[in-house]
Amino acid sequence: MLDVIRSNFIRKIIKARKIIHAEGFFVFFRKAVRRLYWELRNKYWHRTNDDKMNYRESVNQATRYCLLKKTPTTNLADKNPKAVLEFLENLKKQIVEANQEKKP
Amino acid sequence: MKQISVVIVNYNGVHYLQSCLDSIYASNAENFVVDVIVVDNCSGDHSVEFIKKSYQQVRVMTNDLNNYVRAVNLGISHTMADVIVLLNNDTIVQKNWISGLVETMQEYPECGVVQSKILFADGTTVNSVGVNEIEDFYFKDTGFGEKDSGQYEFIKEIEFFSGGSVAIRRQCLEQVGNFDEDFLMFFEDIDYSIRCRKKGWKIYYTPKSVVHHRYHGTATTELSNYFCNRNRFLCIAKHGPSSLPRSIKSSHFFLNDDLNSLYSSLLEASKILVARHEDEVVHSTLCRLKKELLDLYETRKVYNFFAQLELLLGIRRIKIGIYDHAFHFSGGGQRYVAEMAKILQDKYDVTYIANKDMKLSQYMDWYNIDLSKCKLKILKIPFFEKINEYTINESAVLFEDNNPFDIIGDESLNYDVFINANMLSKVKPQSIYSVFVCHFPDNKRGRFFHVDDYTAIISNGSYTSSWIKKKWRLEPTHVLYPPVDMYNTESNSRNKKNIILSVARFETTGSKKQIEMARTFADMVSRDKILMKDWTLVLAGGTFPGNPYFDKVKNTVSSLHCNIELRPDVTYEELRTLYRDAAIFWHACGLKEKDPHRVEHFGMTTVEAMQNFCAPVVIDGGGQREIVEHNISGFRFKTLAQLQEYTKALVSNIERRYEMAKNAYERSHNFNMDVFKAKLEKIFDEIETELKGKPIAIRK
Repeated sequence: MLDVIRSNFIRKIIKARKIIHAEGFFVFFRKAVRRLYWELRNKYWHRTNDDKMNYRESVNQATRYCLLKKTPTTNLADKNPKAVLEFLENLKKQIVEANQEKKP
Repeated sequence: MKQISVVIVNYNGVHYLQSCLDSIYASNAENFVVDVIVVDNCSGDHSVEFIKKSYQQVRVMTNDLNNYVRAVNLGISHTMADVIVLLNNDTIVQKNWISGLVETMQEYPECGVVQSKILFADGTTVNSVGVNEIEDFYFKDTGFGEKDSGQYEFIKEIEFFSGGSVAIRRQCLEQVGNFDEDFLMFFEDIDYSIRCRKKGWKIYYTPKSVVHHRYHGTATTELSNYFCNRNRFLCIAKHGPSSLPRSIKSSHFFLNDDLNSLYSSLLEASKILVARHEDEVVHSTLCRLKKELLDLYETRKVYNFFAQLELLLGIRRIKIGIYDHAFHFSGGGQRYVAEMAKILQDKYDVTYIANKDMKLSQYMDWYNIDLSKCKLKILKIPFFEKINEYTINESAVLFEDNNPFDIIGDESLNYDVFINANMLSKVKPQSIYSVFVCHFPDNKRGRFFHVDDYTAIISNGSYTSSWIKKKWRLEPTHVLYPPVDMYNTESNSRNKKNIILSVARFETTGSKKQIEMARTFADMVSRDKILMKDWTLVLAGGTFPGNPYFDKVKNTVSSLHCNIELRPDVTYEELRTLYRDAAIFWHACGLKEKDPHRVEHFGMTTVEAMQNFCAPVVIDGGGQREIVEHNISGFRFKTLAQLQEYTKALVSNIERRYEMAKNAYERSHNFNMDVFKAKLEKIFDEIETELKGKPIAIRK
């Protein structure tokens, strides 16, 4: 156990020294503070499964019964499944492309 | 005399039935042959018994699932009369109720459906004298809440009827067809009204027939709100598809910020839209729907909406992505995942995602598993390529601004189910359904920790589950024990040699405790030379050249001068022989350990031994507690003194050893391949239901 703690600590020190050397102390300090923030945030303010469960419990049982657990019996009848799939795939592609354009 | 069929659907309404049925027979039923059919909708009260006992003239049917519309259709299918009346169970009918409906129908030959005047239970307030559309597929009962002061005392044509008390002409029913069971409850009457009018039939309201109705006597307000809103979308998709995108903003789901219900209702509506309408309408509507959805949900969710629609329509198989960052290493965890992939590949499109160059054929050779239906996608992570690391170790990510594993998260969007098979906690899943397979929660919650975002967590045993709860405060969804298949037809409880076997890797940290076991065995021999004289301890396990711990074990064994054999790197066949011959099995990993990670999480070798009739004496900790029931299918020790005591008990009492070995063999079946396969298939059946839903009407 001690070995693990020690090796992690040494790895962090080496990494910190590298960053200070390459980018300066200010950049290192900013990164370190941000990391500390995330560590603490994840440790104390994370969303747990309990919250999810509570939400799920709060939804009426019958509502949950219908949240896609039961789906319309309708089938595609005389439609061409390949054409439908192609259209939907295309739609998905458009969504991804639009999203990539939004990104700087 | 004219025959009339009355269909009443009942759900937990035993307290309403008596007044309802009595009122039917007390109205002018003597002028008609009234055939009352009550369809029970899976009631939990004693409705069926009550009717059978008290009203022998009533026909009772039971619906196979709780679906109001399906129950209506079931009742209708058993009617024979020319006029079929649908009546709610929470009503009391007035005198002339039947004749009022029949007379109106006779008076107007073009009339397909007639609705009664429905008053509230107080008898003075109007509940419904027809239904009218307010706007945008929102409907309202005409006259709702008004004092009945004679303003509705005339027969009139209406656009829509309320199904609370309504008569349908058989000819109309035959032309229009059954009620749509996809609605389950509410809005089915609106849908039917539209279909009637499309076929040329007219709908009338008559004040000659009156019922008193307990409003929402059966369905709760929450239930009716949900179904009214959901079914509104279904109705739009059927009858006004182009209005679907703009109907979102006016829906109660949107206004009440219930985006989950909105999402699922729109999916169901889109399914109906695609299946029922021309391609042109479908394309333009879905494109507009996409825009509306992008305003409400993040891009990932909208992408998944259309992916899930594909699944709902059944036009492609479910795509599963299995990510294993240690794919290029051989190990027990990888074998576990390979067995999963082998089972899943027949039913689903399975793709392995790995980070280093490797061929799937090599992987298949390692584990001797056929994964020929799986695909492999190599996705290199620039961060690890840059630092030239062969091992993908998430703890190497220390001060980075961006998560290097985002590339894997983005890739997960291409799959319906994303399985993070080797518990890399920094991968954020983006697929519709995501599974985090955890062998043990090694890491702490830290930056980029994304296990919270997974839909399900699968752990390899209760011990791991307990630590997931403690360390991550998360509740594992399923426990899936690793599959163990070491059965040997040549093994039996009596054909054994005096061998105590231990199978475990010679870990450099010594966590498998081979030295402690060797010393204990030597101590036993020195204490009881006669009893132990024919017994041998065999320490088998994997090692590597220059392993310092193995050298240490070797030195210890040679200094002890007793029957201890070291069998490093035994072949599969040799191992099978050892299991076949050994009478007792020892496992001590976790002895005197405080770090939970160093305790055996499951212990596959113990199960392998049990499958070969070895009586196990194992550590009382970790996963061993789940495998071996103390004093039944083996012994669990806490100290080395107990290890000696229990082993001696087995050595000195052969019959007890035979019995325990048999029990161990029986117990081992809980962890074999069949159990693994059945559990995995059950888990994925549930996932499939979650993704694709189950058809509403399933005939028994």
